[in-house]
Amino acid sequence: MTALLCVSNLRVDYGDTRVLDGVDLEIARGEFVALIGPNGAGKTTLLRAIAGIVALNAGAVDIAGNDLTKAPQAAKRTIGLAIDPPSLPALLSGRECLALFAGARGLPAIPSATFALGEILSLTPVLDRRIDSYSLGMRQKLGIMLGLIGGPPLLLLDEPFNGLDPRSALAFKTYLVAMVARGDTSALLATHSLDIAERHATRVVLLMEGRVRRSWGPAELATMREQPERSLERAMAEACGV
Amino acid sequence: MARGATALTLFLIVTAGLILSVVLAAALLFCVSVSAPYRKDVPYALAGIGLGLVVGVVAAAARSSRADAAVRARHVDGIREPLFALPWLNDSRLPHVLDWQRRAALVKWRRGGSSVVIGAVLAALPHGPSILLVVALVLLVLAWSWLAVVMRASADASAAAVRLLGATPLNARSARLASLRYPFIAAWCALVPVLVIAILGGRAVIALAWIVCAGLVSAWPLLRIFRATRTVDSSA
Repeated sequence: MTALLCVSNLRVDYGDTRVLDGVDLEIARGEFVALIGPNGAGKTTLLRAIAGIVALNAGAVDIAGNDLTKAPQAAKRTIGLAIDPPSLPALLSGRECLALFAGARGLPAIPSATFALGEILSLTPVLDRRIDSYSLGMRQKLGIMLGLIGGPPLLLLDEPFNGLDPRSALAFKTYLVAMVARGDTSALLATHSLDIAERHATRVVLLMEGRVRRSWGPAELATMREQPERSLERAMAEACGV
Repeated sequence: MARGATALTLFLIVTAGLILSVVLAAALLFCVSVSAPYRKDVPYALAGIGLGLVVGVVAAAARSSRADAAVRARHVDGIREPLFALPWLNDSRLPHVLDWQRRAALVKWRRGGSSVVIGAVLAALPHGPSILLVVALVLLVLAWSWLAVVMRASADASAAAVRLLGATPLNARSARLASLRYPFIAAWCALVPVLVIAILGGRAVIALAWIVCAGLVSAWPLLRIFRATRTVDSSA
């Protein structure tokens, strides 16, 4: 499989604090990679660095053959980052926000696939309301729709199930798995939900203290699914030295 | 139900406005009857009140007749928004940045904007100038302080929009043009009363002085917009 994302020796510092320290990661087309790790491990920073919104101190990010530093626009055409709910503009409506993102991606209008996702997530009835009247769950759904607008080949999702009601969470999980299974989309999902990682991901990567500590491939994950005593939770605990 | 509540609110506001206007007009007439030198200014003041009343009532009526679900939903939420929608102002390359800036300016203005400046100017007025002069001065300061609020809000909204769209392949030129659209339109709108006053007063220096003052309050926000949109093309 061809690598859609290639992160090599990535280092990110926040002031004196080293958040990512020599991270190497590759994602192939059609792969669903779950990024797990304790709080403060650097999962969000890694996603933001790949999305080009956090400055890299060292290393390189290559997306579909485009270096993020040298050709940021070409690289960003390939990625879709689900927007963090608190970052959404309170003064715009959901529909206006979608139109803004469609414009930024050079699309003539909001794609019908985005509205279809809105129906799946039950967000359509409130799309004309201002975002400052949205609940956390509604904001999360809108953030997901913004990340997926225009069908980018690489999805970057940071805890997208936070705040979602069980029905919407299941609907989005099904949608995401089906999209990745079609082979034209890859996903990098940062999550604390080991259940999602173990059941749906094709690979799980454990990030700890800014470094990739361990990685579990399809065969190991299949074994975990078949043998509950060898769960991802246990494997992660062992890798963490708990 | 929501529409009925909105209509009732508008009716109450219009009624209160009418009563206030009548009281104000009566007070003016009383002042004129006491002080003869101001008598010639009364028609202008009454015309202004009448015009404001007509525009306000027409706008409120037009607004209450908008029956689409979106507007009703916003009213249910109790969210206040600009009086006119003005969708034709939008930039299709990056839609709704203008709306964002306009609403941010409105929020800032409603929170007080530069009311301190207006208050200070009014307080510093010497005793004795004609009502026309006072009205002209208030208009000049009002236009200037409104423009200052718009520029600050536009710069804030533009920077926030660029941050929000940081992971998208946003084109720097499109972002800059879309961000400058509202400040440009607002500057022209603010300049209109200034030009009218300068022409009626027969003094071009009024307009020139105002433009200089407007330039002073606009320079830093415009620079912020240029800086925010310059970072778009380069990676973080």
